[in-house]
Amino acid sequence: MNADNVWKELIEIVGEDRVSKSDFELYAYSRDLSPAKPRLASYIVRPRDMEDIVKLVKLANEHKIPVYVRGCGCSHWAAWLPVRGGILLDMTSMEKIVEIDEENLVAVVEPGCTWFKLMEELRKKRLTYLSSEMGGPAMTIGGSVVKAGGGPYGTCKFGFHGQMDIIGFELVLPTGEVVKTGSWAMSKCKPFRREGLGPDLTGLIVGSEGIFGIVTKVALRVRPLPEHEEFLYFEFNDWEDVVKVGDAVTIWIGDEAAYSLDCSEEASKVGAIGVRIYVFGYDKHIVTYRKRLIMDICRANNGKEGDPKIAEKTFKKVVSGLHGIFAAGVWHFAGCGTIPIRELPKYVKLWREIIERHKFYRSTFGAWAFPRGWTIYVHLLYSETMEHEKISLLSNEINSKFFENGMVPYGIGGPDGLQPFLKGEWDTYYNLVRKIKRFLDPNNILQPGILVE
Amino acid sequence: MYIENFREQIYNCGRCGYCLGGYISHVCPSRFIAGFESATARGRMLIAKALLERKLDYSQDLASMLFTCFLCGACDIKCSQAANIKITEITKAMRQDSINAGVMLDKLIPVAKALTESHNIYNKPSTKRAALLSQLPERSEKADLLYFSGCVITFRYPQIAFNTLKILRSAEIKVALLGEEEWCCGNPFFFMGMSSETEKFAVHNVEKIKEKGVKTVLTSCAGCYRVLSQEYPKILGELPFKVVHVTQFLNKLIDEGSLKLKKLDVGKVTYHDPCEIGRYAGIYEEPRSVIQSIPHIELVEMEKNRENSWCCGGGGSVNIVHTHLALSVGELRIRHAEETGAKMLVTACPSCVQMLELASKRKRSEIRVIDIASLVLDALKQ
Repeated sequence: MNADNVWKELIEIVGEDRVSKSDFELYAYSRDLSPAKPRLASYIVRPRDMEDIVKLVKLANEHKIPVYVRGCGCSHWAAWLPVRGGILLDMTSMEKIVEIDEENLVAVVEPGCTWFKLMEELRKKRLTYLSSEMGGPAMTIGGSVVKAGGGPYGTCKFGFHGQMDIIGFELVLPTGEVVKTGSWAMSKCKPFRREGLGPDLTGLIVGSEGIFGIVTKVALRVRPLPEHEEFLYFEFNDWEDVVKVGDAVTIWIGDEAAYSLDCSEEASKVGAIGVRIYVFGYDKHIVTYRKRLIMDICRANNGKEGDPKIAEKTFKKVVSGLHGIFAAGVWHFAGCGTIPIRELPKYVKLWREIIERHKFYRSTFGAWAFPRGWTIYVHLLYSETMEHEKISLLSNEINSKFFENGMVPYGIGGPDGLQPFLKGEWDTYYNLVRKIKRFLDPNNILQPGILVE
Repeated sequence: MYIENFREQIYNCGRCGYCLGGYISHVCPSRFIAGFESATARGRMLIAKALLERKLDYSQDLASMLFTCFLCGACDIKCSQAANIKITEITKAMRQDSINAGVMLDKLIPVAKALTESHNIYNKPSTKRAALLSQLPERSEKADLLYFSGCVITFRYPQIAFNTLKILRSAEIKVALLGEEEWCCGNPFFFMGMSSETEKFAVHNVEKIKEKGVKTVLTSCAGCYRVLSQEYPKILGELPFKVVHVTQFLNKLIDEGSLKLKKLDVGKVTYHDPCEIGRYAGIYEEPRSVIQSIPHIELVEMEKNRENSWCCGGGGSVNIVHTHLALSVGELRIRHAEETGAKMLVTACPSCVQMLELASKRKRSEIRVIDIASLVLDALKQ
């Protein structure tokens, strides 16, 4: 690789004001939200459109340079950290909402568009999307869907991204070809349906962590804004009771009673479990019925009714940002993944044991329901100056124990993420993913070291 | 290093991205003009960390990047939702450390020299300041109120001072001036990372104000207001006088019935919040109340208003280092104003007036940029 030539070619492709190799710039892009140590790229590039990306990918192949792809950098799993240097693409210039198709109920966005922006623009048209991650307003849609993200908002009813709400992608393959998936693949067809043309290649991209191609457009299912909504908050003392509530609320697959069901317990208040529930719908009678049904389920399982405003505050702020959440220190998430509906108490027990052994009480165990399962997480609040090593040890222990017990991760990332904990856990499937990667990316330029080694 | 004082805060940044908001390029004007992560608050915290850990050194490029920040405080407001990191203070500390490391941008040297030698940012002789002030229509040697005009008004927008003093006369209020004895408030030193230089300006100005024996200092400049009311007490302790911004003073006069405003048929007007009285001091309602006191005026808000206001492009000395980029920030603000349908953009800071007028001309906008005192004087004349 001739570094001077690469630099000149990068400038030719995107222009001087969209590329940087300044030392300070590389540091500004060196970390995600995890405690992973800084990883430095060689170049930061801000592509404007799909054409730029095609040229950049071809350049990377020619010079055998790694390319890493970053949205707004909000990953917790080291999913874009440039572990082998090279080009780091900052996709936030590609932030347009290309189309809101009110007839087919599909929004087409560029990958750097945030959930927040899409939500605001949809609301003006009395529309909304199905489900999203929980996080700050800067979360981008591209980064979120390629890791099959999920959060408490809408997941109880609709599951994770990709279960039904990603209609198709436009993406640049690692060798530079441009492909569209779903009905969009037909030259005269809009994105309105995900399946139909052989295998579901949209599904191949959802959760791929960017290793099979660079997403340049995402088509998403949207729906009319619900006319009616209700919030419920209950407190429980036993996770076995919470499981019974989750079980009852999600048993009618396709007609789940709640839109969102989110629960948590703080290490400093063991046995005080807060459950926040969001019910929405288009018919007042149905929403009222569901609310009453869930209240009956909670009461029958020893739930004590609390202030519904607690739930309202959580769900209304899921995308726009909760208040003051980082004031007491930096957050780290460990033990994040999905488990079957009945297994929740086992993981709570493991968490409590580890936290007690380490006497580390600035931690929360949380879970939110999806159809017949739970997404679980452990939240650790720490001081980066004083507790960086400690938090890494604690987090490693939680991850190891949870994966040993069968938890399925919902984001793997690179060697600084969850990859080391999964060695030997998914061999055959892992090999298949690696084969597909080798076929699509013979020079291994795209996201090398991420998801698969 | 000055940033050592902020070590805990710098390490407390979890890189959540709240500082960027959901419309990523439209919260922070630095991110808007520069585009890269180094122009964001969280990116700057990572750079500060690398500086603290001696992995990075200051360079001309890094200093230039630091001067893409308008110090407008929008990120501080966003971060108050998250980690409550004082980002603008840390950015100013980085600018100070850069100078201490021997890295100063060439474009800033003449400004620093002018301030040191002539005590104003335009390198004009003090006699010029006195000459200008002597042309003011009325002065009262024995007064409880002193009007601190500041550099931009004195040398670029004297009309703002004339208009303010005419309003005061109509309310029968006596006012004193410092004349040749007035020095720059020192705000540019804060912006440039030379805050230690401000001390002698503070000592001088406060001494001269004390000699006048006034109880209140009035200013029309948002920057002078911030420095006099917030920075001087940090340097000198409690001041023997109150500092008031013209919007607060006018609002009080109107409330008391000392100003009788007549109708003005100018249609819709919109108000731009100067960062240094808005986000820095919470003066949001007084200027709006003044405008709405004028019969027949319809005040319409820009989408970005009060604590979410967009900088005019005049903050943080960015206009000295990256002039065209700073103007593009002002142009966006003009667009915000145009989108309201207003024909008049009112503000309450001479630096904002200057930037917005330039941006408006460059954009060939028909919107008229006006200082609040001029608007009030027009309503008095009717």
